[in-house]
Order: sequence, then C-alpha cells, then structure tokens
Amino acid sequence: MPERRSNEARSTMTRQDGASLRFVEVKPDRDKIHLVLDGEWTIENAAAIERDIDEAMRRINGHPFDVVGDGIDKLDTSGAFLLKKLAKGDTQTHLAEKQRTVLEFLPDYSEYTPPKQEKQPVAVSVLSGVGERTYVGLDFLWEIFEFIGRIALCFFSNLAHPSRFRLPSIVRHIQETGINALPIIGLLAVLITMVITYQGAMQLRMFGADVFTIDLTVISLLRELGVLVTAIMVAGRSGSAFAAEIGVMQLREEVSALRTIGLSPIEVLVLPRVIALVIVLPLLAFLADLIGLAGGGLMSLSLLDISFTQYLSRVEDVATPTMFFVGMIKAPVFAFAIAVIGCYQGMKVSGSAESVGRRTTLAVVQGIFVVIMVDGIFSIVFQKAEI
Amino acid sequence: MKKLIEVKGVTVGFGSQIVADQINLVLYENEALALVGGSGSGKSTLLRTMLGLVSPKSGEILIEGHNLFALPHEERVNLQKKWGVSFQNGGLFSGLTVLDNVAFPMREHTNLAPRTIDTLASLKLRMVGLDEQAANKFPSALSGGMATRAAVARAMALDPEMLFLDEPTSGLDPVSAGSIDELMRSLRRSLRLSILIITHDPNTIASVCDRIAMIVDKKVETGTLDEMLNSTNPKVREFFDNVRVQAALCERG
Repeated sequence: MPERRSNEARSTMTRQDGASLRFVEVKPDRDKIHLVLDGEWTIENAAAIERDIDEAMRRINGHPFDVVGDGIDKLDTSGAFLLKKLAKGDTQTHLAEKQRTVLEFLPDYSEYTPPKQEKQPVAVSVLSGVGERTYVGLDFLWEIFEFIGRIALCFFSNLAHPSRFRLPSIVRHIQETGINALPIIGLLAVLITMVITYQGAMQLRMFGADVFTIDLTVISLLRELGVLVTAIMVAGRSGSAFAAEIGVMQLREEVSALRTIGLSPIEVLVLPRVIALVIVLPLLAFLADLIGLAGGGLMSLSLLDISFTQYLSRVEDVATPTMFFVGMIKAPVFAFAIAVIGCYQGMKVSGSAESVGRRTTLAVVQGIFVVIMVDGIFSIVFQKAEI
Repeated sequence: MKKLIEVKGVTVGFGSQIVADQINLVLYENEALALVGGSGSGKSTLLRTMLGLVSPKSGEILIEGHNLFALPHEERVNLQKKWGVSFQNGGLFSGLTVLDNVAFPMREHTNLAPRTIDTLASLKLRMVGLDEQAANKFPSALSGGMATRAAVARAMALDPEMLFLDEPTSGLDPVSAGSIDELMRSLRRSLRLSILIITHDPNTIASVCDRIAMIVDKKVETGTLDEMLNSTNPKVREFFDNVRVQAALCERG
C-alpha cells in the first residue's frame, strides 16, 4: 500500500527534523500546551499516529495540555481509540460534531489485560509435566483397550443380526482402502525387491554366492517385507483417512447426531472400516508378494543373467507354504491395529481444525509404530516356536 | 450517490443448476441494503460472488467501477482490506482464541504495537457485546450467538468501509439481536459505513435497512420496504406482509 508507506515515511522524516509531527502538532501557549490534531485518523495511519502521540507526550513532558481535534479529516474506530487514549481523564477536547459521534460510539477505553497464568517453578512444572504425560499415556492404553472391547461387543452382537453389518459401507471402504491402493502398493513392492536384489547381488557376489540372491529376495519378501511394506503404506494412506473422516464428522457434530438418532458410531463408522481393512490388507499383501516376486525376476534377469524360467524354478525350491503363511498371518493383525488406531484418533478429535491435524498425525505415527512392534513380537514367537 | 458495488447481469449456480439469473444490483455509499429471499434462493452464493470467492457463470461485478475479476491480485487485496465480512457459520479460525481472531487481520495488515492491537481487539469485542471472559475462549467453546457476534467483531477489525454480514442476527436471542441491529445503525450513522446484510430478521429489515433486494424466482426485485409491500409480485407482497406483521409484533412486545 503505497499511500500508507508514504505517510509513515513523512512522519518519520518530520520527527527527525524535530519540527511539527504529522498527526499531532505541539503548540505551546502561555499557561497550557495545545495538541493540534491533523490528518486522517484511520487504521491505515494508526501505527504512525501512535508513534506521533508517544513523541508528543515526550516533548510535553507532563505539562497540562488540551486537545484540539476538529482538524481531523476522517476518523474511524481505531483513530477514535487512539484519540481517547490521548485525551483520557478530564482533558479538554475541542471536536467537531461528526468526530464526537464516532468517539461516543466507542466503548470506554481500558487497557486489555491478558489473563493471568500462574507460573510454576521449573522443578514443579517439569515433574508435573512428567506425571501428566504418564497419566495421558496410561489413559491412552486404557481407552484403546476399552475401544477394542466396544468394537468386539458390537461385532459379536451384530453376528446375531448380520444385516447390521452395513455391507454397502464395507464395500465402499474396500474400494477406497484396497482397490484404489493397488497401483501404489504394486509399485512399492517392485521397488523394494529391486533394491534388495541389487544390494544382495552386490554383497553375495564377493563370496561367489550370487545365486543365493534369489533366496534372500524370496525369503525376506514373503516372510517380512511384502506384508510390512503394505501395512506401512496402508497406515499412511487409510489410517490417516479414517482419523480425518471421523474427526471432521466429530467436529461437525455428525457423530453426536448419529447417537441421538439411536445409532452407535462404533457400529456405523468404526466397524465397517475395521472389517474392510481386515479383509483388504491380506489381499494387498498377497498382491505385493506376487508383484515383488515379479520384480525380483526382472532384477535377476538383468543383474545375474538368470532367465525367467530358471528364476521361477529357484523360487519354487526356496519358497515354502510355511514361509508364505508366516507372512500372511500378520496381515489381518496389522490391519486391525491400523484401523482401530485410526478410528480411535478420529473419535478423539474435538474443538479445532488443529486437533484434526494432530489426531491424524498420531493415527499414522502410532499405526506404523504398532505395526513394526507387532512384527517384532511375531518374529520372537515364530522363533520360539521354531517356524 | 456513489455506487460502491454494481452487480451487472450476473448469473450464478452450481453445475447445470442456475440459482440466480441475470441479476442486477447496486450498493450505494452509506446505505444499508438487505438481501432477502427464501432458503436456497442463492443469497449466500450471490454474496460469495460479490466477494470474488466464486466466479459468476456470466456477467460482471464492478467495485467502484472496476471489474473485480479483471483486477490484478494486489489491487484486489487492497479492495478487500476495505471490506469486512462475517460468514453464516462465523468462519472463525478454530485454532485461535476469539481475541486473536479479531486481532489477526490487524496483525497481518497493520504495524501497530501488539498491546495496542490486543486492546483494540477487545474494544471491538465489547462493541458487539462480548466481555473479556469470552475473548479468551476458543471458538469451539462459544454458543452460536456468541460466535456470530465474534464474527461481526472480526469483520470490523480493519475498520472497513463496507460490511458484508451473512445472517448476523440468526440464532441470537431478541435482546442480543436488537443490540446487533443497534450496532449496525450506529456504524452507519457515526462511521458512515455501507452495509449489505443477508437476513430473515423482520426487525433488521424494518429498522436497519434503507433498501431491500429480494431474490424471487431467480430474479431480483429491489425497493424500500413500502415499495416492496406494494409490489406487483404476489410472492414479494406475501413475504413483506409477514415481515411487517412480525416487526410490528416485536415493536409492541
């Protein structure tokens, strides 16, 4: 805004000259000082006016003064506020009628005092912070198990009335979390196996054992990576979507509306999502396995000069049903964890748009964390069971 | 009188559906214009078009003679600083307290001292009848009526020359609605603002507005309250007969 800038520039200039200020002119008289006001007292000039007032006050240095304000061209509420601040108490003011109406329109001037916040000593606030976080963490554990319990209750009571499972909703979520995710998960599976095959081939070549690259690829893909990569992708894609969808519904009071209609949000919103994801994630993981194997074949062809038929027969030798099922059995567990955490965080949204963002982030972070943690637990169990 | 906003042959709608067809409307300087019409008649969409948030299907919006949609970005922002808008659902920023909501435009567009801005913001809140206790709440903790008032306060943050208010008194009790009406009247009297109000409130129509524009059957009809009462269009007459009766009732009560 060029106009405002020039006004300010001018007021700075005149102040440096020590001569008259642009908005407030100090005119000493015999017994009293007159402050003659000038210019447009609007919000655009408010910062300059405020500086001029401070400067004028400094020059007056506590002497009694009166305010001559009928030279003001234009007065808005911000200008009127500054005028009131200048002429507080029983200072005499000379104003024209139109300025007086603006001034009278404004509520009485009083400084805004920010609400007092009780300050605690650092030691206390650190300790209480630790305690608070511990309680929040314990609450979270308690609440998430309660949430799982309610989902289970709803699931088992629905078994008696299968029509309450809301097939259309489940199908929609299968479409959104499964079918729409196919391209990205396929691409990711190919890329991951390519990287493993390449790295494996480079290292194993040093021992002349590059044929075992295929073993490495197949075992790591089927046992771990296929399902893990899929689960992480789904946690990022769908866990966040669940949290955001339910969160915004929570903000717009759609969830409360559901309750008042006599429906349980668990049944209508949470259960279809959980069921859909539990169905979809094993399928996606299976597909990631297949596409990953294809990617491995491609890399073997170009890096190891192994033909596709040779590659397939090697895969047949290495892969066992146990290996495949060890991977696949994790998929529904991961799916359950991701869906429950996503929906839980969505239900916990309250108040502001910021809360949607925070809860969505939590849904993804906790989802991926739990997936990796559960994967570790599975590894230990399988190792003890010698599978 | 100076024309502040001129709507020329504007058609608005969604997809193939047209809600208002070939609208002509003028907002003059220092007048209060009520925009009325049944639910879903396109009042809010027309307002959003005038604000430049939605492009019209055809026609143009002239702001002080310039076509709004042809203006360069910077000039448009300068024009927008002279406008204050309050939306139907408040449109308050949910991550900021009420006071910060009002202070936000001032922080962005002026270089006043932070303390002055806070004081000015609390002053504006008091003008719409909110106390300091409400000032420190987040929008989610406000009642509907308080949110409306906070939105009006934010609309006035930059001392606009033009106010656009979308149903500023809906959801308010009669006393608060009356104080908002009084506020609008005094804003016009003392600050010489121009106000465009979308409203259903008979009191606001009767006591604040000089002219009324009503959207009926996708067309707009304008006039003073008396002219609307004697309109040739039976739908307009019916609407304003109701307005007159209700306003009279409120007056007596």
